[in-house]
Amino acid sequence: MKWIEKVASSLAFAGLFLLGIVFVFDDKLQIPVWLQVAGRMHPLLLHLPITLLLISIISYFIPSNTSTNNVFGYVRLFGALTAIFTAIMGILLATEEGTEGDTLQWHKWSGTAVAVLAWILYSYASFIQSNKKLAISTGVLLFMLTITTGHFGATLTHGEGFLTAPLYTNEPSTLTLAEARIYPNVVATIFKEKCGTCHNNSNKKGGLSLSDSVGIMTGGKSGKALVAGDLLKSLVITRAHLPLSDKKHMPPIDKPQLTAAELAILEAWIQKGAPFDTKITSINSTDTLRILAEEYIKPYLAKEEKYDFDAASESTIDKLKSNYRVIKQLGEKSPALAVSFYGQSMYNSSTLTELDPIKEQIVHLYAAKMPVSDADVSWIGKLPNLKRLNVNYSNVTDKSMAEIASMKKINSVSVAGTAITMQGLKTLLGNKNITEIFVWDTKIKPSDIKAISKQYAQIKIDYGFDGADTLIITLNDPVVSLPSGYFKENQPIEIKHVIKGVTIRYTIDGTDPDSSTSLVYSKPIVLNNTTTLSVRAFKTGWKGSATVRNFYMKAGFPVAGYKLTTPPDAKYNMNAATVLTDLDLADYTDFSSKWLGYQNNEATVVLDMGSPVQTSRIMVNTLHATTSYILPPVSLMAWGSNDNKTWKPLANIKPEMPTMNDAPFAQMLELKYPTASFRYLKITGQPIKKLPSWHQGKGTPGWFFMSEITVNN
Amino acid sequence: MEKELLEHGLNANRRKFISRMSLGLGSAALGSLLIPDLFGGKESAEDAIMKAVPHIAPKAKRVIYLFQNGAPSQLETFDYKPMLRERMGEDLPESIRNGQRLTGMTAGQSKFPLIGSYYDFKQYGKSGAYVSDLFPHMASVVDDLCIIKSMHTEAINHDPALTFFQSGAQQGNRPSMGSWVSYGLGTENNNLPAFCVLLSRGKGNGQGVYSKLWTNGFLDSVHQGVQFSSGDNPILYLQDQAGMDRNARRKMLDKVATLNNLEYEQFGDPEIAAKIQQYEMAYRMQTAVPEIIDTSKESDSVIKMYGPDCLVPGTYAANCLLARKLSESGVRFIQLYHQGWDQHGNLPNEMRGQAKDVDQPSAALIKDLKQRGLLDETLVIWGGEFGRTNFCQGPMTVDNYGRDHHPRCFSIWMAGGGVKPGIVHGETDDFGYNIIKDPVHVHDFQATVLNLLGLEHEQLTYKFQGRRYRLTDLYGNVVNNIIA
Repeated sequence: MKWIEKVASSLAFAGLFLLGIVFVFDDKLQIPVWLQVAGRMHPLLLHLPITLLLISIISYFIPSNTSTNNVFGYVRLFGALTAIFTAIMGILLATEEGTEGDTLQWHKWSGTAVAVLAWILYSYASFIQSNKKLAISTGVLLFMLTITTGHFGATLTHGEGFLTAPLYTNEPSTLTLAEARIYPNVVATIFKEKCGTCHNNSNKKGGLSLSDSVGIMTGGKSGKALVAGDLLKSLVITRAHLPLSDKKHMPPIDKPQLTAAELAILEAWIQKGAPFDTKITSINSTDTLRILAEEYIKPYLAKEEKYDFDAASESTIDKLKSNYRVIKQLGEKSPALAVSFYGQSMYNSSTLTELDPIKEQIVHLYAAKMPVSDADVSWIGKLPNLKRLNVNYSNVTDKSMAEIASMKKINSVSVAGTAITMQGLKTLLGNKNITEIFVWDTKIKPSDIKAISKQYAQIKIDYGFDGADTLIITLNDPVVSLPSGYFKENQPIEIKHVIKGVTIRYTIDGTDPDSSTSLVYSKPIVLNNTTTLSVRAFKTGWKGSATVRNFYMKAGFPVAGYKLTTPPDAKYNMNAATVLTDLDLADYTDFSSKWLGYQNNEATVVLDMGSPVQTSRIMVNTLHATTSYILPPVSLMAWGSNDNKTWKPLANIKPEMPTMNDAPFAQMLELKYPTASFRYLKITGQPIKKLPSWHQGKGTPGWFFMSEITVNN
Repeated sequence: MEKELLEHGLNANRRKFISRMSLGLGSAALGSLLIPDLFGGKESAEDAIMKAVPHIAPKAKRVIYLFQNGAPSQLETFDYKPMLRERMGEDLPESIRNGQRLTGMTAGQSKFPLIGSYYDFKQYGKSGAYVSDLFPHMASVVDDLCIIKSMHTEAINHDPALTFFQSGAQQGNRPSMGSWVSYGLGTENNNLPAFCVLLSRGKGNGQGVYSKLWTNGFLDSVHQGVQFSSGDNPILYLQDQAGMDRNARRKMLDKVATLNNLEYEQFGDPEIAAKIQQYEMAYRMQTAVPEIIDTSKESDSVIKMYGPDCLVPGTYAANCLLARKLSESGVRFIQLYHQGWDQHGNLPNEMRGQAKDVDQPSAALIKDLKQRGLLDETLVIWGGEFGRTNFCQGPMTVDNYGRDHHPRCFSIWMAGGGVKPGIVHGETDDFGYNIIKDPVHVHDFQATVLNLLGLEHEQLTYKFQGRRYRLTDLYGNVVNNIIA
């Protein structure tokens, strides 16, 4: 085994000299290709000396005997040997890659020191071991040096702060877009993340550092990293555009690459002249650089506002919570609180002042519609961190505004619906931190605000929508309590409208009510006769509503029964036994169920009044629906009889025929005759045999539809 | 002797075992630090949610979702496609349709003739966004709107599409969006439910709405949407019976609570405690609700802004006004549904009526929240469950046509609550058929709404039947570009 020791120690000794040479003359070295390979084995080999040397240190702390000494002797020897060759390779690697910078220098010095120290410890082991103090102190020294060297090396490969990074990433950002700058917050971040590991002030591969403006503008050994305004001369750009397989492509193939967006930002920045101190928001909002930068920076911006006060204790908050006083944390980790009040009757001044223990933490206060007084505001004014105050529709007046304006952090004030005047508003405007004020529905006139809006252009003064006088729109329809139809005696009709303060006017002659002369509705109308009731609503500041027109038919003499002597068409004979006297004023939409239809034969119906009755008119509800081939009857006739056998003609009308298609409607046809007494009344209606020439069904038979029949005197 | 040796060996083993054991326990404890949920030592995501505090500081505190049920056509609202007019009647190229499935209603059509909007479009506001002539009021607030023209969904029929929008799944056993929000953020006003539902219907061809759309699913029943009906008694079973005096009710509740507490002490069932609280809340709602639905104090200016129909209970306008009042009183999530947007035929005519119902009140809601300083913290959403085809369904004339269901693109808008005002997000092709820029899937939309409320959609979970569920299922990306 001796020979191994011999060979190894000789090699180490030789290596020590070689190390001395490369260490001193590293800037003059010309490294042949095969040696480059050896240099690149530095990261592989370095783990051996670290392990061996650390093990060897143990020997200084344990009692020695022959067998352990033997083992540790080998450990020390091979530790020194590998340390020396690792150091040599490291210097070769650094020279080949052209790495520069402080970290490298420290790594080089400490690494060489480790190698030399390791050699000394091996060579004088027995002497050192004989002196306990010396042994321990050299052991500690070697340990420290090894760890330090290792740390510098790791910094070179993994980048600055790699080790401690996890401790810092959870720190929430406080950056806002308004203060973000294009270089420090965007470009520098890209450089640091994608280039910074190898190109920083302490590790300048290729002589290039991208850590600050000096390094960026100076460039590296290959030339200018960046020429403002000239992409083709800027190596950071041209290198990034080389194919990934190219040796000169940057970042190197095994490192995280620039994303398309990052590259676009760098290009836009360089084309803009590579400014180092420009705020993002000062760049034109349509500029590519601004759009890209805003997009890029979004994840880095502060998600939460930072507050410099401590959170209130959970138990304090819980004690103050009630069903009418809601206290909420703004966010899971935020100390800030939002307080809202609900339920007017549950609010009084102490509801506010009880919050003293959390005074510092309240940043939002919502007390809209609560009877908050000026006296209460003097308490609110002492909230040191309040930002948002909403006291819409409360009792605050101008007196409170000075108090609010004196608050240091306040920036949003809502006083809509309060007694605030222009004077109060001006007091508020004295606070330069305030960015928005809501004064809708107050005595302040929009015109007054417009007059000062130039002076306070940066403040949003919202006077909201005020259309009470200016916007003229149509009122909706009045609501009449009874729909069109039959009534018997003294029928009261109520008319309502959803909007307060409207005037309801009506007529009973079928004309549209107007806003000045028509009857004004004040109490329910009582009907006694067949009436067409037309109703409209009016109110100043509004257009009058549409006319609601209802037709009320007074029910006639009761009919004991009726018989259809000719049957209606089978398609339109629903409810044939009752439909003519059921007091349902059918309208045209229900012609399949509430009407009797005739096409090929005349309609004949005999009414039995039960006993002879004095009558003078018969009303027949008929249908007019030209597009459905339903026309008025060609003739409508009435007969009277007391024995249901001999009939006396009473009336005969020929209704006017339409001359073109029109919208369908129900039409009440009236048969009038001199008063006479009959028990039986017969009505016949003749459908049109051939539809007229203008009609789409010309020449074919038309229809006659009838419904309710009313007999009156 | 042998026995003693064995004993010694066993003892040694026992000692060794116990000392090893303590080491083992030590390392297990160390290991458990790396696995927060292992021993329940650290709070789980659900525990954090139970505190009802947002994950991050919210931009919006409340939501008013104006759901346009039946799916209004994007081509007659916000997605201006002049080419469809020029090429009216031409068949939709297969290269554009690209295998899109059809509903049973148009699958039998031999041709898919393109049809442009009957209504003209104009540009409005500083943003210059296009809005159709049907919506003059919305056009007047366009600079407050964030119009998303690139929504897309997976469903092609109403029920699954609606359910998907509301619950993140088409099948319909999951909690509705409002329920998730109630679960995540709790109620703001303890005297009102956190999730309220208001219904109205227009004259257009309608599709039903049903209570499964506002179900709490597997979440606790306190998170269920509470439907307000029109009329004197907006919440069923809330009012005391005639003749019952409030003190009597109080006494009765106290007695019931005493009995319930006895039961609770015996069994410790949290449902009993919940029940007691819900009785108390209902009691407080008895005074809070009449205060809120009272519109008699609304000024003429407000009434004109929403239109006079806002005083007619059950109309969309009345629901918008009520939504503002509820939101102002701290209700977290208010879901409106306006039916009647399913224009398979007679589209120009029916849409005119529908637009008349919703245009003015929707715009008024934004203005009203704004002038009260509440728009910043209230997110308003307007939109349907999918879009409509760029080709005609059924007979076609310039002024009378129909459009079938179309899931590949449609338009919605959001306003307030931390979305960028006055922007248009996303783009569709000239045919108005496919999205060409910034698609927003329904899950993306849901993730974004939750994000605006300060909730991380991936953390808002509930464990049920052995797995964790979330509103966005397994998908969804926050659309950062629309967040201010």
